[in-house]
Amino acid sequence: MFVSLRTITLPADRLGTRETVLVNLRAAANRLPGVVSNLVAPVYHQATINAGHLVWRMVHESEAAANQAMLSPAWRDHIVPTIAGAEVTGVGYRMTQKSPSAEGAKIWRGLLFSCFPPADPALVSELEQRTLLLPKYVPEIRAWGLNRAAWSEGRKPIHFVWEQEYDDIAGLTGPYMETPVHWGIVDAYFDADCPEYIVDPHLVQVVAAIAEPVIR
Amino acid sequence: MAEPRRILILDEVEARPGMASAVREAYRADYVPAAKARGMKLEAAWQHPPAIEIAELPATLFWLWSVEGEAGWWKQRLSRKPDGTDEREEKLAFWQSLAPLTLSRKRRMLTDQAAEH
Repeated sequence: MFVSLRTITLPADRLGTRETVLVNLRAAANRLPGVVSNLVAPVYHQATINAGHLVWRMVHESEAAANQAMLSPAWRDHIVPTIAGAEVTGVGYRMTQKSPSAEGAKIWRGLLFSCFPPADPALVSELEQRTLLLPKYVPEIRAWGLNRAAWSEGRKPIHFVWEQEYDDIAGLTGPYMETPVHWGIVDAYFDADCPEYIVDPHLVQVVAAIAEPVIR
Repeated sequence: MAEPRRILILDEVEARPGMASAVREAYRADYVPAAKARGMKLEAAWQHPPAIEIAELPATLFWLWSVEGEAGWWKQRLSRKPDGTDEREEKLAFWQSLAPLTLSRKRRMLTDQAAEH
């Protein structure tokens, strides 16, 4: 499976159209070929960074199917006019490292980040391996995926998508932030005070309320 | 309600031969005041070789800081300038300014050891 994930930031003079854009985008996305599932949701009001107003996450049968969707007449005729004028940050990735859950979590969170261009590949790999310790030590993470980007669009490149599902937002703002695995180990790669610092400070943290599992 | 646990932050900086006093002075002048403003408390500063500066050898300088609990840790980590912007660039600029004087450095987060049962 291949995911295309986008956050959409509306211009200041169109903030009042958020609900309309959401409804139209949901309808337009359902016309696209090769889409297995489709989430269009308002960005949660809490614990977000540079996430904009709407999150749009599609699961495609394959990367080729994702590309075909973007070249389809339905994209040109329905998606393009719906998001015209909005700032879109997007990333496409294969779901190769993941642990889904069918337990019905209510909150999905995605952290989109990139590493500085000269980052030592060994440190990047270390960051990846250590991030994968978090689900082991934070049981509030019900499902997760950590995947490398195949492509990205927007202001900054995106290299990684780190997704989790929680029962509630407190799982993210509480145990996830408080575990020593986070502040004692993993955060060093994000912390300018640490020699391991390799992650670009322009993060996108997007959170959405979900009615069914997103990570599959 | 339990007391927040004390979290220690240990900086270990290996100065190039003959550069220990320059590193120490830069850290004292440029890092310590900013760290204190972020809520970090300086607990101790040590050095090796002990008690003497040997110009022919590298010297390792240690600074031990403490913060109160995870909230205190994240406060220093996510610190903001008075205008509300992220302080990461200033932190990075300090460490980059120190780099020509040093061979290596580490920062480790520490807590008390688990009690023996």
